[in-house]
Amino acid sequence: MSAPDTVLERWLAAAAEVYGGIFAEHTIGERDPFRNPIGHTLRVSLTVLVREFFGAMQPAAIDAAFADIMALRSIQALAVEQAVGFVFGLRGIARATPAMMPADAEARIDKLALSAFQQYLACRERLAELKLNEQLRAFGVARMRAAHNRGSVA
Amino acid sequence: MGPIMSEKPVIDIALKTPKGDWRDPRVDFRKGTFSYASLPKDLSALGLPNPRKWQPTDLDWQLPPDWKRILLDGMKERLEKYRSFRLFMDVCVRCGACADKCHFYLGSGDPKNMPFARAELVRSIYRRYFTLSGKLFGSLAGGRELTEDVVKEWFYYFYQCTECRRCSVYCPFGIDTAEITMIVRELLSLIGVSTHWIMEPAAKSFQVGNHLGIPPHAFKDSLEFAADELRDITGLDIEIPINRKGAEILFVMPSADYFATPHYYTLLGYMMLFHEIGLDFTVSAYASEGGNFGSFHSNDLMKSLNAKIYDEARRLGVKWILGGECGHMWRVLHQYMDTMNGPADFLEMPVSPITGTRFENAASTRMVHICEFTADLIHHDKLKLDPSRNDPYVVTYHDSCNPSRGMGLLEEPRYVLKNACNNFHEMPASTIREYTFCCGSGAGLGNDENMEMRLRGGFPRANAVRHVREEHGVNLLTCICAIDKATLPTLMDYWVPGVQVAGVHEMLGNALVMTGEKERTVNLRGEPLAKGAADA
Repeated sequence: MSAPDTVLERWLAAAAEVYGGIFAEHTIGERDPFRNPIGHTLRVSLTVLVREFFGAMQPAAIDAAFADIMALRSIQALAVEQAVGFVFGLRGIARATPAMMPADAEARIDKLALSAFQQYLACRERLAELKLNEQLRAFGVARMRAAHNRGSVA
Repeated sequence: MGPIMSEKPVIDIALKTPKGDWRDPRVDFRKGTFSYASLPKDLSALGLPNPRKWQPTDLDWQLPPDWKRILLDGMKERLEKYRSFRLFMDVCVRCGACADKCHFYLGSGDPKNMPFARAELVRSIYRRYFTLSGKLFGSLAGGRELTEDVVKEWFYYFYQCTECRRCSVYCPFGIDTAEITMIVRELLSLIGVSTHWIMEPAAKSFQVGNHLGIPPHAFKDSLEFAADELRDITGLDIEIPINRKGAEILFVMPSADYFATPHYYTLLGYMMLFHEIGLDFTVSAYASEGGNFGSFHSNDLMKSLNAKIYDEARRLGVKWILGGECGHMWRVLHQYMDTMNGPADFLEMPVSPITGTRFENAASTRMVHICEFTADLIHHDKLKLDPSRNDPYVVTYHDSCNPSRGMGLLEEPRYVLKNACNNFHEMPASTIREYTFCCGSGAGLGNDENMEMRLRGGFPRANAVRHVREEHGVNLLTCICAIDKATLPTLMDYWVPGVQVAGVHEMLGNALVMTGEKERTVNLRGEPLAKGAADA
């Protein structure tokens, strides 16, 4: 198994650990994306992140991958440290297999962690916006009528 | 690559069962994951027990002093009354076929959201108090004591189940977990434990006729506004008759169709269709709500709220009833209305006045789904459609749980869509038709305080939408359920930005070429039509 593949599998296991028990097993083992949407999302996004970890560390790719992961973990029954903590799990993986790792692995992990926190916060902020928009739609016809009446008066 | 850091053990991932005992009923009412409690005014309006101010986060839920006796008596009564309930309590072998079928389990990973495990929360009480082995051996026979913490656990988990019945499709014994949820919610209602988002609309439906409590004159205003809009779009005067005695057909829709968006565009589509075919119909300001939030609470409340539909059909002297796009409304109409408030022997067998088709499938209820009616019109070539008007949309279809699994309405909406749209793509087979994933907000969970739980439950559906967005560029998710139309836009905004939500009859209205219409330049949302269509 190549270094990125090894890191991917170990990091995926670390990310799934918070779910505990049989669901962690399901998250790692079930490959059907529709029977295991959480595992699928984690695997796809972590594949990108591992590629960047060993590669160019492109901010856009890293942010997009963490956006998908944090969309999930920010609304699940996880404390912040549980939602984001798996990123630091990469440290343990790196320490266990130092020969495989980039020389500046520590600095790269720090950058990944910052992106993860940023995306986590962005997801939490979006919740407030979603609630507001849903309420606006719930009274959408009244708002249209009000706009229509204002137009008539004008 | 280079050496870094000191050697330490790799993270040890232990795949083992969760810490603690599943029988421990304590739950964490984390904000964003539960619905607020019902208010005393609504319980009083409906004559329901134990009206008081409380919230699930309170330590003391102010249950009646004899709450335990009330629950056990209620269980006994229902075990005797509903053979299915006793059967569902007895026959589950915990095979696990349902385990990974629940959208809440797939989106949250909470083991108590595996359908058999959720049912086990009440099954353990059944064993303890209603079986000999449980009475003798208690927990050794899988029984649990009924405590206040169990009541709180029931509230938490049975108000996470959306009664979508996906698990029941996979159950080799045919256990309908939705019915278990319905009965547990009914038991909880006996001690005044219910949610505000269900009870307030139910009370308003009971007192005024619809969920928002819109009085008849405002109902009329809203429909007149729709007629004005249609005049702007089509150039035609479209009449929407209200309470017209002697009409052939009573049309019943969910109230969201006339106060919320995007539902409203579906209403415009219905009215264009009825005008074009010259349908002799009326709507009712009393039966101004097809939705039935009573069905999320108890059998008696569901029956009471449903009764007005037949009452109005009788008062207005119509021959049969046509129903709009709604989910649980159709669950109630299709599965329960005939036995609750029938027989509808004062109505006639529904026959399409345009095609002559007899809707034998509605022989007992005398109520036809709008998608059946429209598909029949298209099949008989009675409508002129220009699907290119919907060309800006790349469309997929979400089978709303109740019409699909509840009544088998799988082909008709697709038939309408494929005739009204040029760009249609199905989501993967394991996520549609009878296997459809729920929106995560049905059965009274669609409130904003429960947003995080809804987003968890809706994730499997959104994941399938994202797949067709990436594969085919889908930008419109269609459905035939009012709760879907209210909550899927939120789900899409969060999980799959760029995908809008619409009703099937909005697509039909866009495509419908009406006799005498002016040159159509905008769709029902007021957006410019596809260039080719507008030029034609």
